Amino acid sequence: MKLKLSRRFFIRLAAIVVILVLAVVMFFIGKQHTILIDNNRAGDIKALDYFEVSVDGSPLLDMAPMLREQFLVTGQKHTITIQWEDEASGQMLAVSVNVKIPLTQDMVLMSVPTFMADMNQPQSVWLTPFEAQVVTSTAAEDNAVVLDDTASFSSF
Amino acid sequence: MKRPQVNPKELLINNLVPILFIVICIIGIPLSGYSGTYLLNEILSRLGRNSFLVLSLLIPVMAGMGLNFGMTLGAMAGQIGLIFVSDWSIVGIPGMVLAAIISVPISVILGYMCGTILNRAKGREMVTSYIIGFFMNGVYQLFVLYFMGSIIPIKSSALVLPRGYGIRNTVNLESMRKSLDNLIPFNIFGASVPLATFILVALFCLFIVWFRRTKLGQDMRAVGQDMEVARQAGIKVERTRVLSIILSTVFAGFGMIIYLQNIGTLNTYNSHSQIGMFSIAALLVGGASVDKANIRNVFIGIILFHLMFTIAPTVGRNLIGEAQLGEYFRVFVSYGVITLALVLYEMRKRRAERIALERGEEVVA
Repeated sequence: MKLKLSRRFFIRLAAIVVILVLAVVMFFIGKQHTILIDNNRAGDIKALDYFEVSVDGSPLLDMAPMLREQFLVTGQKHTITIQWEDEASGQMLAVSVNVKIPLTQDMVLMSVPTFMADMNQPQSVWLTPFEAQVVTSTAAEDNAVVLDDTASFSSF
Repeated sequence: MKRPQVNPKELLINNLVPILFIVICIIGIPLSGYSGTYLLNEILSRLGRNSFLVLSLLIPVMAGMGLNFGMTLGAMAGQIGLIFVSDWSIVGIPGMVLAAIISVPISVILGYMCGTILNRAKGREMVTSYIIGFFMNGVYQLFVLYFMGSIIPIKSSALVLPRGYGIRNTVNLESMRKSLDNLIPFNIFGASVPLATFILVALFCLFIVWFRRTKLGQDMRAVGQDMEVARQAGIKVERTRVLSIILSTVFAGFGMIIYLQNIGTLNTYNSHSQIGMFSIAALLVGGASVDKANIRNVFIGIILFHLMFTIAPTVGRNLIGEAQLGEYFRVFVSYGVITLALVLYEMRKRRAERIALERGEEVVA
């Protein structure tokens, strides 16, 4: 079959390219990530007594030792704000840090004690990929699906 | 200019289905006890989520292919798009757009296949497309239940069955729920209006109006009126018919995505199965027939059909003390209305043929 390089062909090609570019843009701007803010002991570094955390301007969340909170965010670049009380002066101090989550990483864990121990450390030290545990089962009841055509009636 | 005389009997027969539904709703609304605000809220929500699906049926009717029961193919394509998007964690409007883009090539392939088969079953398009829907449902189940997670990579444990392959019964679309409906917040008389969805539906209506005037739209209408005449006029009849089914399937895919973003949950193995039936029933309730349907029929149909759908369970409970009876009622009415519309269509067709024959005989005599 001979390919005709007509004006129509190029218009169609351009339309397909535009749609593909749109798909890629949608993937980048719509990708949701989970940021886990962790206040557990990290090696020799002790958990913090108390601090408040916010991601991208969300309401501040109280964090006590052994706590882990999750934030659902969209896009790759985010600002995490940590607020704590300075023991010496009794003043509230705050620090904001910009993080960039790898595109394909669904979940990352930020160890706040590690970050607070040395704020000049590279991001990879205190922000690590996190994989949720997957529970597998071959039991028939766990893998049953409803194939009844009338099962969706109630949703109409 | 003298206006043509309206025969009340003819008018009643031609609009029997909408009249029947208006009567059901007039009797049912006071019995349901629902407030006006509640009903308005329900109707606006249902109008938003179903309009696109029902509008997608208009193009095949224009091409004389009857009511496209094969729209479930598009619904399946839309659902596959949503499954992928959920696996990749793409949320909100970008997720919907990406799901729509993914659904297009699947819809085009399925629509082409369906249209080609329907070209080999001229005159029996509706029953053929209905059976194609069942056949493709099996293929869809094979893909979703066995290929996804094994051959087709799906990594989200929230989607894959615990055995490691196959998609779970329900896919949570909470991250996408009402993202289009609530894009432009707007309230009227205390009821929430899905304004952005309505804008999209209005654009689709404009597209249909514009499309009817294009060369392809004119060709479709010509094919719908008489295939042989259209062929002699140089129109590629088979190609035009296939294109009408492809367009309908693609738009049904988009419609399914809009529908599911409103619901917020995807029933992987069931959501698509009845969508064709209910969309067609809604269109017929609006006064459409197998060979004639317009935008007005779509909106009247959705309002009346879904009004009945909303009030039926409560009316059943208030009258007999059994909400389940109302559930049965609305399901049997859905099937009944399709049957009634098909019978009426056939009656009208035979009557027209008989009249034409009688006139022909007179001429010969």
